[in-house]
This record gives sequence, C-alpha cells and structure tokens, in this order.
Amino acid sequence: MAGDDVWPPSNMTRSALDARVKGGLLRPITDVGSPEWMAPPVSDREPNLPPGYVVCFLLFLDRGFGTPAGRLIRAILHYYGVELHNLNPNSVMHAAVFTTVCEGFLGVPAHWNLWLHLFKAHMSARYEGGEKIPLRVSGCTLQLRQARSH
Amino acid sequence: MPSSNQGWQSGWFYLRNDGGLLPEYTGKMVTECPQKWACGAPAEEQKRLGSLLAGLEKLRQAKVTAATVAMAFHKRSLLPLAQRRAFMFEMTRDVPWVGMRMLEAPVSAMKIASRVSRTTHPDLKDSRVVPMRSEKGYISLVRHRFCFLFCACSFSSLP
Repeated sequence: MAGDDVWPPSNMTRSALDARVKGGLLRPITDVGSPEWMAPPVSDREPNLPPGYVVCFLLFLDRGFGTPAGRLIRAILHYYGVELHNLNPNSVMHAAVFTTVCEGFLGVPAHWNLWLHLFKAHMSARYEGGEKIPLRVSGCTLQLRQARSH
Repeated sequence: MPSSNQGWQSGWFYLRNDGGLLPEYTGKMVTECPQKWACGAPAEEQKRLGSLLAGLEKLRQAKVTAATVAMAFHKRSLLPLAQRRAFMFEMTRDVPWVGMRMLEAPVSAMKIASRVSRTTHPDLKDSRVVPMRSEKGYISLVRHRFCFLFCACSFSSLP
C-alpha cells in the first residue's frame, strides 16, 4: 500500500515557536548546543532531523502536549505502536483532557483501563478511487467511543 | 471534539526527545488498524471501573465539558501531557509549584478563553472555569477515597 508521496512543507518559524514559549506552551531554549526545539530550515522539504529529536506540531502544544513526555502519552504511543507525528491535534486534546479529568477532577492518576474503556483508535487515511492511501502525517486517530460520549 | 485545525500538518518542527521517552522518529506511516486499537479494558478490569464511571457521571451532571477541563489546565498553566513532579490533585498550597507550571504569572481569562475557543468546538467556548482539586470549590465526589486507593494501586498498569 503506497502512502502519500510527500510531507506537507513546514511553515514553522522561530518567531511562532518563541510566541509559544512566551505563552507558556513550550519550554525556552536553554542549551544552544542541543536546543530543546528547532524550526526546520527552509531547505527541509520533509523532516531531516538530528538524532534525539522527534517531529512535533504547533497545535499539539496548544492542546496540552509537552516534554519531557508524561506517562499517558507515552503509554498511548507504546500501546498503539505509533510515533508522535502519527497523532493529530484532536487526539492530543483527548489525551490532555483525559489526564486532567483523572488528576484534576477525579483525584486519581491517569488510569489506563479507564482510557481503554472510553477511547478507541482508528486508522485515518486518504481515499482515492476507492483505494486507501496512508498518510505521512497523522494516521492514528483517538476517539471517544460513541456509547461513552454522553 | 471538532475544532478548526485546518492546515495543522504544516506546523511541524523538531522537538528534542528528552530522556528518549518518546518513540524514535522513523517516519512511520500507519498502514493498518490492528484489532487491539478498538479493544476496551479487559473484562475483569471493567468491573473495577464503577467508581470512576460514577465520578465521571457526576462531573457530567455538573456540566463539566472538554472545554471546561481545557480552561482548568490553561488556568493553572499546565501541560497535562508533560511530566510533573506531582499529580494535579497533589498541587496544594503546601507543595511548591515551581517547575510544574509553565508560567508563574496567572494566565488572563481572555487568553484562556481564546485558547479554548481555538481548541474545542465553538459551541463550548463559553464554558466557565470549574475549580480543580484541590482548589476552593472543587466538585467533591462521594466515593473519592475508595476510588483513590483503588487507582493508586492500578497506576502501574500503564503499558
């Protein structure tokens, strides 16, 4: 099964990321030798990242993702066998809201079996002539189960 | 949880994988949906979720929504999916919050509303802030103590 041919070009700039730092959604750079984050150079048509880095999206920060990664998001990536760039902003938001509901409202650590009870994952893809085309970005969508959504 | 995410795929950048906690980037594409993606909690575990589900129902009755919850974590200037030294319910006045919050200064109500309106359904943007544990006025759940004891034991079940 062939996938989408190219990554969408990045429009990320240093100033956009600096604004997130100012807003408290991204940690500031404290190590210039191995910066906490980098805007990709214009020449990077697709991710060409140094070892020890992953691809993240600006909207993940707005929706509660941060590093060092906490246990729930690590558990999700491990259990579903995906990488960070395989998620999408709404999936990140579901995980952030779930963590906050558990810790901030139920008064318990994020509970894995409750997560499994409430959420499921499905493959998101592009359809072309009836054929399912895997996506370079996203691909694993986390969804509240219908029966649990009210 | 629909929201205006149009063009989000172009907002990519490189993030240092502190501690190697996230899966290494390989450019993986999802090409199949394994059966376990749809699996719920194991049957024997579902029976133990009763107190938590009762708590969720109580929150629902109190009109706690995704937007409400997002407002709560933005108000506290937390990134819920990042590591913290303490759980949110342990963030009391007796515990220094340094290093857990992203900003020391309070986030303005206008800023919180703006963030939440961007990230949740527009119909939900007018939600109010509901206090989290253990802020004054938080929603008390009757079976909290039992629930906490049970869940504290279950935390190690995270894969």
